[in-house]
Amino acid sequence: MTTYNPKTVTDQSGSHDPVKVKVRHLTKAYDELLVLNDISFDIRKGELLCIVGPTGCGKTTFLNCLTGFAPLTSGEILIDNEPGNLFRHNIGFVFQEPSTIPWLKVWDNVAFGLKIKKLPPPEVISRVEKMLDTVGLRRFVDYYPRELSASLEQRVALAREFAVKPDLLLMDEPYGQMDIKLRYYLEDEVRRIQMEEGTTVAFVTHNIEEAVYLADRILVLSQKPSTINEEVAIDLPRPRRFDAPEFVAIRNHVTEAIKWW
Amino acid sequence: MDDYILSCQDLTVSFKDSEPPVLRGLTLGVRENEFLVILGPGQCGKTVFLNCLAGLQLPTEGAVYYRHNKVVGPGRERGVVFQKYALFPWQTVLGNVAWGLKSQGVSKEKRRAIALKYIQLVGLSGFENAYPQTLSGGMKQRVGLARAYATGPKVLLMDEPFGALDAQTRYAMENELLILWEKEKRTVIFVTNNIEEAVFLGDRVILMSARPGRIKIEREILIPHPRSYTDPTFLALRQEISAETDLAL
Repeated sequence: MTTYNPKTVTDQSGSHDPVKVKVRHLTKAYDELLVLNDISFDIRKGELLCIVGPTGCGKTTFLNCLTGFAPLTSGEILIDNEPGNLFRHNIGFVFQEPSTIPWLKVWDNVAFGLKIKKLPPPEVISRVEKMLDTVGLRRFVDYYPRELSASLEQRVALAREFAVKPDLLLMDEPYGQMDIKLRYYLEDEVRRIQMEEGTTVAFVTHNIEEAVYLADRILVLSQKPSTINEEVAIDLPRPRRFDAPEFVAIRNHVTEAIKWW
Repeated sequence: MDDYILSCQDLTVSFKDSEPPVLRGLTLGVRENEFLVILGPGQCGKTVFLNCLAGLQLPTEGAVYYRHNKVVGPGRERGVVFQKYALFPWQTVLGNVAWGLKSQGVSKEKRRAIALKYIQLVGLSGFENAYPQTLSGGMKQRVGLARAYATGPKVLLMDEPFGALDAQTRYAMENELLILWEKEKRTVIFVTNNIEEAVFLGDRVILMSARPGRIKIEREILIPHPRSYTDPTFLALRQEISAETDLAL
């Protein structure tokens, strides 16, 4: 059996990529409940970072802090060296629960962000059409979200976020409800967008196989109050195979690292 | 058909004449105490299929048989565990688990005793008086399992029971379901879109294709329990089934 020797990443100064997101001494508490405890790390520009951890460890809270949805208790988060600002920074966010706009049909849901950004109409149309094909929603353009299954509805939200070509894409367990085939297909799609657009991606997941498949680097959080247990750099060649011995070794290693049961 | 506890013959279901049928010509037999997994991508009609077996949906053509009897509606020999739990919010855990027994006319003391037994078996002792809204997803589905078991069905029909759970909780629940099943063997028909889950649980896996829903391939899984998610044989079988699965775009 292949065993994995962790290459713990503690010093990132060796990398020449500029830092996209800088997290310093991030602490978040809800009243007495300390969720995130003094967390510091960087996400480099163009990097795909996966964040894993036990259930309830504060992964979603972390993303919410990043966007400013949840105020920090202390510490700071800088995007492009300034405080995160949803108006200035081009941030895309895919939530765990499908978050479509109920009164808009599928086509208008996907076009929503592009219209807000006041893109010229021909550009809006071409981007929407391209995304509809990518996520397989062509047949459903005239449906309302309530007429769709959970998987289809989530694809509407994905298409809407992908369409704006965000330079920071935050994904909170987006593929939980999908079958494996579709998940791998959409994971490849995230990777493709990341490569083509140079997008920086922070991807939260419970699924360790998904993390090993996607990530340039995995951040393993501990039980609440969460700190960083370990950082695992993954330099397996792509496309990765879930049944390759090296892949399985890393997967088993990360599974052990988050184990609380 | 004599050897089967539950079977179907040329099962076809159409909802609209203008569209291809959701299910076309399904023929299948389920052995007593078998753990059968129905696997398929999104929208392939696997829930419709399960509903037919439960008697909640009547076929357009063909029929479902419980032993030699044609299924024409729900019956107490077939219990269902739903994806979205379907617990009564105004009832406690105990009330939910005992509910089906009440409609069977079982006495109050006996209902309580049976319900407590299954609540204990699914690991919810101490939560008998809790209401569903105070429970986590995994705990709610434990209640769903206990409720289905409590009425004493011969066949348990499970519709993606762990689909809404996060991956780590799902692994834990898969293990616990097998422990429960080993303790009290029943015929289980388990619907899922998750290939890993199918290979972990099933004695046999039926893979469906979509539009119209049909049986594509069938595999007996001979890997002994407890199975490991990362064992090479396990991963090879997963890969083999994955290669046969349609991309449900």
